[in-house]
Amino acid sequence: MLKKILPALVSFALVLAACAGPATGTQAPATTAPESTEPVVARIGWASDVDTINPAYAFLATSYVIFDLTYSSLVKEGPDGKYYGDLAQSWTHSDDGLTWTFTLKDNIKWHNGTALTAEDVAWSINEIKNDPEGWATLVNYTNGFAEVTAPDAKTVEIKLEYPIGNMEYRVSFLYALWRADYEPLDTTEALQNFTNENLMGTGAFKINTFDKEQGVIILDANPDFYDGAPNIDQVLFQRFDNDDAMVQAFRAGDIDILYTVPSSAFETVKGLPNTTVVQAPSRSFDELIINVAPPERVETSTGHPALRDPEVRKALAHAINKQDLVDVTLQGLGKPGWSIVAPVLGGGFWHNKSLTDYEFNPDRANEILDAAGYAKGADGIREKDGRALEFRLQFDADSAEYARNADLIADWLEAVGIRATPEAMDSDTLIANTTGVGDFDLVIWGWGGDPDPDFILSIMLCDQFVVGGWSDSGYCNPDYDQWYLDQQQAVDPAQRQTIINQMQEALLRDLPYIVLYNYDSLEAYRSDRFTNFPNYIANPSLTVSLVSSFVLREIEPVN
Amino acid sequence: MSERWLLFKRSAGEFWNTFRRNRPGLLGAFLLLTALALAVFAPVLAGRDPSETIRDADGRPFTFASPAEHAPLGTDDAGHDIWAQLVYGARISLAVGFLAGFLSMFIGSLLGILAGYFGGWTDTLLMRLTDILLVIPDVPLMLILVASVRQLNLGISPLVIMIGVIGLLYWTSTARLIRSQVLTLKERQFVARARAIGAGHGHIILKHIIPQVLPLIVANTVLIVSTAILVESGLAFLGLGDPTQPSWGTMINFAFSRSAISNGAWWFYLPPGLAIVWVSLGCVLLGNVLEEILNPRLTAHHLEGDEKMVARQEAPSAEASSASSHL
Amino acid sequence: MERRDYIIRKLFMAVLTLAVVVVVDFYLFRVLPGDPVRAVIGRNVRISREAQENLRVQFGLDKPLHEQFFATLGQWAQGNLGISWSLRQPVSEVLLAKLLNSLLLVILGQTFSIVLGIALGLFAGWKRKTAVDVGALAFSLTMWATPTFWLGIILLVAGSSWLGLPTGGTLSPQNINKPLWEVWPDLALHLILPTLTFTIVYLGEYMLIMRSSVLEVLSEDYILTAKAKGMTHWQVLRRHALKNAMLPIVTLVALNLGFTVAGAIYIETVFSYDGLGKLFQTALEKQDFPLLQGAFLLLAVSVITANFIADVVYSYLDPRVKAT
Repeated sequence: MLKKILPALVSFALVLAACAGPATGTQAPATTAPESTEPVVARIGWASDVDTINPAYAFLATSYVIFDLTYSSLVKEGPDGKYYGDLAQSWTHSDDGLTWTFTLKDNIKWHNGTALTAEDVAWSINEIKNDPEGWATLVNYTNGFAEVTAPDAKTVEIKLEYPIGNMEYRVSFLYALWRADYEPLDTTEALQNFTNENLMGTGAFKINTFDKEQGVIILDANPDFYDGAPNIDQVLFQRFDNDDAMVQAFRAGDIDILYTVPSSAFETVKGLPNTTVVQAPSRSFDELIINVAPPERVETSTGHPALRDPEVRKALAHAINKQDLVDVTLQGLGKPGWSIVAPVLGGGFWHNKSLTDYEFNPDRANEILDAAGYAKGADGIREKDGRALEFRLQFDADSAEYARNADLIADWLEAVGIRATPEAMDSDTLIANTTGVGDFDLVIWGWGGDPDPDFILSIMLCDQFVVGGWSDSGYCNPDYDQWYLDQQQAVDPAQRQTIINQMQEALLRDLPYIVLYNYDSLEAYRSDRFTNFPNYIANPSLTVSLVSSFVLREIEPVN
Repeated sequence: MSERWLLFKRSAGEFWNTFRRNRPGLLGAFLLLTALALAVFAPVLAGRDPSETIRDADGRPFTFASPAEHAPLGTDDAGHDIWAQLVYGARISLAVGFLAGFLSMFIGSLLGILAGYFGGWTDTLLMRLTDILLVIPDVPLMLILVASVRQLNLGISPLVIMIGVIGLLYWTSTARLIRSQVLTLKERQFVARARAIGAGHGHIILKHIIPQVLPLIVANTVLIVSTAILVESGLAFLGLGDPTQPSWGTMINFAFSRSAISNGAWWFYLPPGLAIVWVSLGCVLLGNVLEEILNPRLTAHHLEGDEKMVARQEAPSAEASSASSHL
Repeated sequence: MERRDYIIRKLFMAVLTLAVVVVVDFYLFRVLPGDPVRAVIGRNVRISREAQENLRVQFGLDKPLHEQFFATLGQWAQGNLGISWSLRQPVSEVLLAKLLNSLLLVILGQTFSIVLGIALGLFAGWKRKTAVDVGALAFSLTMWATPTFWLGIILLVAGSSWLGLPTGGTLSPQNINKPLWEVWPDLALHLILPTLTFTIVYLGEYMLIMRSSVLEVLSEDYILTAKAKGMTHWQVLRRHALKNAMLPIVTLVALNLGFTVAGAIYIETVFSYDGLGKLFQTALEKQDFPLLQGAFLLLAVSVITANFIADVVYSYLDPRVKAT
């Protein structure tokens, strides 16, 4: 008798156990009021790694979060995407744009109390500029710098070889480095092996602990910070390997701020008591990469010839329902987009607002393909010159979103007579097959956001389509290349804007990418622990992350 | 009607009589057959395409919907029907499990027969090989093998790679088993007699050895399949499956990495796991019983006993209970 | 056979296996086309092509294969397993820290498995054919058919929502940097669920061994003699059944010790427990080949060693192996 019901009992018990899972709102996260004798710590959880705190050798984007908190540069990107003075009180440039002069603020001190002088800043920039091998990750920001000097203790002067349009952006990554640490490192190897565990900077926070193995970084507040001491004592970053574990830790009260909330957990986190979520548009986007590189250009190109027909690409653009992608894949946490220059870049300045995207219209797509001579075969798939419209639709196997997108896109394309076959691939293989090689048809991928449009525009250059370069689509337009050089040297923002608008127009017409959407950046914090966060709802142009220096030095503990 | 057929019918009858009295065996068969039915009749049973997004009036997807609201087992993070995924997933899990099991069985039987029959260096080599293979930790080895092959970008489907890797690593128990059976068979006189009348190795193996070990191979295969299904689910959970063709293990991977736990969506990770237990248990129960029934009594071979060597047309004696074969 | 010969033969096999593992480990990773630069920096870093080439040189990816093999062997023998691409630290340092964590989990889990397994096996064999016995058998069988990671997920959900146990990790974030003697209660709390999962998974094997040993003993003649001498059933069981089961149990323990460090990949992944298994999985995702290579070597060596130790212990316990 027992033999029969035992399995049933067991499964019933299991179902009960799982049913009583985390329900929203029934479990209040534990609150502990910080005692006055204990330091006030803002604990931040993220699922990312910091590879090193030595700016000479840091590859991962999260390392730059730490640099933002501990280092200063002349100018820094502000909460709304515009640039503000960090070390610099004010700055000007000559009419020909070849000389930039920065005047420093008063009372800037290093973390050890020494005063910072203009000489320190000039030395740092020269250190980076003069060592392309050692400072590989930052040297590109000094391209075009001719001479960097400190005429007096409060002035830094940078002379350029040619006018530079995004000088502030460039300078924002050139941190003021502690000379005594970096000067003795005279070989590339020494420079790159230097751990910088006693990071000496001038930022709002200073390094306390960098435990790489455990994934813990602790920063202490810098009470002498020139723009006002932080209102908290410490910041702690904790790395989680698993998104769910991170969300659970937040719910349990182990962490106060979530650096990224996974979109599938957003609703749950939003519903937690004493929790405020932040949903802000980001500069990042996901796109459909189209292989437009002809075999004449590179032998290894195996792209379907129909993809090089602009009409086919237009039809593709009309066939994809971007709003649906946002609704289903992103669960509504994003916006359809068309430009590689995101609407939110530079506070909205760089995005071409006068253009509109191709609308989702499968009938129109069908019309275009019919008119272009791609007749539907017996199986409903179009063909021309004996070749059916069958494309490989590849994506990084590690991404849940790309897999979902691929399924949806394949369905829409089928509806207009195109067979796209989704294929999950290893990311290494994807890179090896696309950039400079062209062994693909369609690939779904994404790009992260840079504060200045220069980098993302550069991926479409002709000479970037080489192994090790940035171009995966193989787009090559001599006009575009020329415009790129022009915008690089356009010091007048209005002029630069015009050029960049032109470039976006070309990309919209030529469609090497069909940009799908800009996904939102999602964060959350415990409103019962800390307050005085920026008001993202009242101020929709705010893009700054909760973990940036601007935010963390302003927040205060509740009671 | 040939002798052979009558003999087979009688053995089959005996087998069935023993089998149907064995409760665990029947249970195992039931579990396995229902799972197979699920897989075979997936299109009919699913009710929906597993990649279809279930939407509301505004076109928004019903993500993480509870069971019975819009779908029998609820929906996942993209609004897909979990019951449909489960049913189609049966195809993948079972296909990979069975194919990997067959591959293991094939390799193991081949090597076991060769080692047992030829003995000597072949045998020693094989035994050393199995010893080495058994000691190397299986999960890490499989992980790096699968990752390596995928890196080589040969265009092979991830599922095929998994079948290959599992098949290549789990043949050792089959090999050992078959080998010891073949050794026992070799001890018996009929092999020596067959050699004496000039039969070649291949002929002996094909006509005499294999039929005798076949029942054991069959029983063992079912057990290996059970292991293969479990191993596949593990590898799929770690992300080595094909996300465009999810197996049950891949479903659990999706649930784990797409916040099913924090969303309390137990219907996403509970059913696939139960399905795996269902099938593995079925195979194990069935396999155990098959082994019990089919193993011990190696039927007497017609070349044994005191009969003299005779020419082909002579009818086998009434004593012989095995299939009569022609020399 | 003689014990000494037996041990020597086993030692030879261990060394041979080790050689095979080393060769496979080396060539497998060198032959792969993996690109550490892309694996580490992804798509969003403005690093020049020259600098990328320099990175590749630094990672030693431009040298011919065979030269490297013996040089690498020498390094491995000295414990230098190279530098991890993603962590930028010596592999051996990373491995050691994680190994200790894994060992803790494995030893705890195995201990509970053995103790509970023996107790249950004893009970089940004693009460043969009763509901308890059948229940225990059914449980074992079902546990065998249950995927480890899935059991882990269920226990994770049940444990965290019913008992408020931590949902993963080795320690709470604020305790990570503190000395062990201060934070061991937190560590213990985090170990409960993974250890429980571990115990349940491996329980069945020990239970079955113990049970069959009990059954064997109960059917032996000497139980009659013992009863005649006035010993109770219980005393007989304890004395003989346990002793009888020792041999297979000890062998199994040593074997499992090696394999479970490797097999803990599933449990460590589900519970985000910071051990060797999770490290292996993470290194796999990031395609950090030195780390992967070193981890695999360590796992294989530990399994081979554990096996060899098991063989040696076996040779002492098995009455068929004579002492020299």
